[in-house]
Amino acid sequence: MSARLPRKIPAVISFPPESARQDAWGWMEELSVSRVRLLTLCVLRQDERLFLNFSIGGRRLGPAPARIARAEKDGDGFFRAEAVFTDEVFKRELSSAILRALAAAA
Amino acid sequence: MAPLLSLLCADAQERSRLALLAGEAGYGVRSAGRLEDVLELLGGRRPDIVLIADAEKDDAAAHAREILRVSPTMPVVVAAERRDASRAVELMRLGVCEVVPPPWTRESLEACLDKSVRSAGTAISLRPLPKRRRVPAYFLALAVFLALCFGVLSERHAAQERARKAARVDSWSAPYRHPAGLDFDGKNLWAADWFAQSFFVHALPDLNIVRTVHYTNQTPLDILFAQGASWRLSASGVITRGLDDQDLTPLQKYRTNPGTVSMAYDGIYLWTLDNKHVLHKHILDVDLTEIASYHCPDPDPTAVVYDGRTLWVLDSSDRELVRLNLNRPDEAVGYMPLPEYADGRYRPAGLAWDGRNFWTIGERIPHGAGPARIFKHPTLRVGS
Repeated sequence: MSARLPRKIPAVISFPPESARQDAWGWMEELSVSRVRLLTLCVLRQDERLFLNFSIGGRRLGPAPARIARAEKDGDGFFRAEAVFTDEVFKRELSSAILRALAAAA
Repeated sequence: MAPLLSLLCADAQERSRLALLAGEAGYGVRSAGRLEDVLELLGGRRPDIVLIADAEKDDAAAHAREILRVSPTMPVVVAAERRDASRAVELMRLGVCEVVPPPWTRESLEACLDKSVRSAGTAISLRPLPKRRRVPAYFLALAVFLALCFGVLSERHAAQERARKAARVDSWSAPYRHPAGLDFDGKNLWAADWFAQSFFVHALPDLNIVRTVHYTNQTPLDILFAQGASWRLSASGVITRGLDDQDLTPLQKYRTNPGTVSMAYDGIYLWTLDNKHVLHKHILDVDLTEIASYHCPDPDPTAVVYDGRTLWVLDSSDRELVRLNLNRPDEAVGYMPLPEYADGRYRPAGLAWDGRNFWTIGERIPHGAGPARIFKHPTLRVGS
């Protein structure tokens, strides 16, 4: 079961302290329980670890630990990245949030 | 037509800076210092996108909210004065399409504006998202496809080349039976036939006979074209220098060693080969003075030629070309076998060089049992 929301979900992208990077932001183009596709002006690299904060259906989620599985720069200069959620507890929480959003969208 | 951008920025300096950047990014800009001016614009010619500068005194969130209330589908981009991810996401939740982080550059502004003009909502799903076909896989598939195409094409080309090579004619039958010498005049191939007492002129590439020069009182053995003249060798051992004209008009005669069978010219000296296997070196004076002689290293030399670098001798018994040391012609420095004569049907009798290939003429064995044959030899590797 899937749906497309009328607007994209924005997300705060933060990085582990050791990477010494400022927080950034981006859009979630596609979101599932285990992975998310991000669109951001921030530079992302494969295997980079990050945390995502976002809201879905009015419910705030995160910080969700994730790892960049693949990242590429598009023609506009944005980075399109696919991130894999690495925390199982968060995945369950996300699953229930998505179910509620899907129910609302139905 | 450039997309129209409505710019809202209270600070005149920042406004002109943003207008310049947006203009460089390819947008037609209408600047405004107050929200009311932008809302008025929305009522007239509707802009394609609205850009709001966020500042402490000038809250972009309030402006964006008001613009989206009046025009809910209008893409709104905020140029943030400070880098604050929470603030950016808050603006994006309000409906702002993109937040341009500071410092504002043409690249970042253009990327955000372009991206905002084409925006869609987030797709959500419980199942994992279908994997996108990866670009490397595309390239891999394309590379495999191209490699296959290249392989097929190159195999076809090789097959065509083999067929062309198999169909290529590199030997021709001649209408005379007793060839004695061969030479190339820069355009045609000249063959001497001692029995017919004639020179036969073959035109390349199909070796049609285009001319015959007959002598009633002498037996031609070889001919050479050098220094703008023709040099005819007859069986009596006389070399006749003549014009390079239609009749080979004779100019001077030289008496050389009896039994001379072939001639070559290396650009300075005239070389003659006799039937005792001796090479004679002559200077081109009035007497064609011999200045040196060398014994040929191969068993049965029948013709000599100069290929622009060194002398070559045709060995009729071993059926090969022998490369000689030009300074010491009694020393062989290479051998080039002639597989065309491997079947033993012909005996090589004359040799010529056309600048790229060797040509030989063969006499049918036994002597004159059939028409002579002219062979064009491919460039072969020389064995030592």
